[in-house]
Amino acid sequence: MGVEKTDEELMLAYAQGDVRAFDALYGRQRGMLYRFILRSVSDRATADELYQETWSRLIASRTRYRVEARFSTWLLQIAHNLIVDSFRRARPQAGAEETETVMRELGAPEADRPEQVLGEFEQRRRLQVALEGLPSEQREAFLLRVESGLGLEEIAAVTGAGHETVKSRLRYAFAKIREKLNE
Amino acid sequence: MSSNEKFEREFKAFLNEEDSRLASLYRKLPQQDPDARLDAAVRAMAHRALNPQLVATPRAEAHRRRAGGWLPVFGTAAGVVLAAGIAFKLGPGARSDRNESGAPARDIITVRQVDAPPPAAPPLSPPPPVASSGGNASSRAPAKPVAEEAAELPVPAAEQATKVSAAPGAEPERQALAGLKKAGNIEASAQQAQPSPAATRHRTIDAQKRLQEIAAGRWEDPYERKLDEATRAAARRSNPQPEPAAAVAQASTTAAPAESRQSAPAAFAAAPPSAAPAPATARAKSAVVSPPDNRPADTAASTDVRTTGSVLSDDTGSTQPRPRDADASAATVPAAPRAVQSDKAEKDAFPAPAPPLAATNTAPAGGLQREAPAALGQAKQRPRSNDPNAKLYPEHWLANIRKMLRDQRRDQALRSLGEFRKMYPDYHLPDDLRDLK
Repeated sequence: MGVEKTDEELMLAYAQGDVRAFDALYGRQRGMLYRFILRSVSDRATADELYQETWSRLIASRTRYRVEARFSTWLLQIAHNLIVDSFRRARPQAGAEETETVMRELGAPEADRPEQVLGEFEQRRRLQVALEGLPSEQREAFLLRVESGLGLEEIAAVTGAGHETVKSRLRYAFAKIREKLNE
Repeated sequence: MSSNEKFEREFKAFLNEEDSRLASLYRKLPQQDPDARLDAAVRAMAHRALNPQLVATPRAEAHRRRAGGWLPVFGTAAGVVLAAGIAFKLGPGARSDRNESGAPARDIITVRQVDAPPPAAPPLSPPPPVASSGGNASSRAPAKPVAEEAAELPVPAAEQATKVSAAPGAEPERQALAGLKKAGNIEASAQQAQPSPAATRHRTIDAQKRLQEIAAGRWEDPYERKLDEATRAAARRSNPQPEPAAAVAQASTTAAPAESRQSAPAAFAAAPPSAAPAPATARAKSAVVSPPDNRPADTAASTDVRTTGSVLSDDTGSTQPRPRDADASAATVPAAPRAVQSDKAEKDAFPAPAPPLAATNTAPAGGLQREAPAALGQAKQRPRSNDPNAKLYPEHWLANIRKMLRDQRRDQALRSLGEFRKMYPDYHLPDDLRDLK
């Protein structure tokens, strides 16, 4: 049983013309990428379009691929750029006022109903609602951390933001979700 | 522990992937995956990127479907335009353009052009008095003006070919045509049998060209008259009842366009020995239409026919070259002027030239050409002579006789002349030799 190739090796093989390498690589990344996009945008149709466009751009730039980071980082970076563009085209981002409103609401005390009482389904629903209520940048950072398993540096590389900015976004996202789950 | 400290500790664990509670909860969310259509589209894109001809993406297929939707519309429009074009062609305007027989008017124009030649071109050189030859002059067709010839030239050979096929005496011509077809020269025979409008126009142009040449005084054929007389006399004597069909065939062949005559040598050369009448007839016909060497190139082609005929297989099947006057119609056909022209003195000794075209094409359908097959039959019965000059053309023979006279060899000249008279009893001797005793 041979050693399984890494994502980077598969991508290089595909750039050399190995179609089967792409199939293997696609099988590894398809779920993660799709969920990241689907949970980053509002609707499934947009997610499908962005998902296909992400792969299309990866295929088009296959010959320029260099192993400078993890393959998933590069793939998510492409998706991130498309998601940002999609947000810019769709509607204006939530402003600071909207964010403060959410923060105030999250800060309201609701300790009468302990989270242990809630069923697992309710926990998932709350998490989902909390994710949907996050500002896009915070949600994206959270998804990159939880869904894709990226560290601060990698998230910073994907999103193009600074290390501390990413850490701050994650802090806000974590606080909101935590509060939502503890409601 | 304050809430802030607790938060910081949980957050640090979250960053260090130690917060299993939130991560495990996230993993319990619905794990949505792209559907199969999306997977297929992406894989197709990847495969197509490496081999553009391999797969088409659904997006491209959708484009193709949208583009293909216009094809029936374009096809229908093209069909309507085509139908309108055909209807316009077959419309009243086109019907009025046709005559009663339904033939296109353009074709009829050519025939009218043939039937009604330009009234100009009167005979520039009046036909000289027909030299009497054994009382055959009365039955000889009078020489016609060149304008009449121009009118007769484009007579449709198809009608005559029909007569040929219906007449019982047309067997030699049929054999000749069969020989042509066997030789693969179907085109030449088809041109003889069917005068296309182009061929008819060509003949008319050829006749007009001859008119112009005659008007310019360039047309000279001192042998045509002799040829005409000798051939007719021999044929009429051997076959007093003319064979109209053969004559018609001959006329049609004589009126055939120059290109068919030019292509004739190849066909004759390839003709099998069983088609012996074909080369013989060809020689006769070529001799009939052979003008002098100063004529245009298209008419000079018939001389090439005769030249080729000299190497044709004879009745025995031999393909050895033989004298040009051997056997067949050479008995009544003067030699090719090309050979004689080198000796101008001898040429001048011949009688004055007859109207050149009178002997070739102005004869009516029952004229010269009608007698050609009979003359050929007579040629086969011509007595052999031991005179070495018998292998020469008659003109050469007569030139040698004159040379004998100049060399004071009168007895030898008389003997040779006697042999000549035996071999060519119908030959119209020049005045200087006619009364030689």
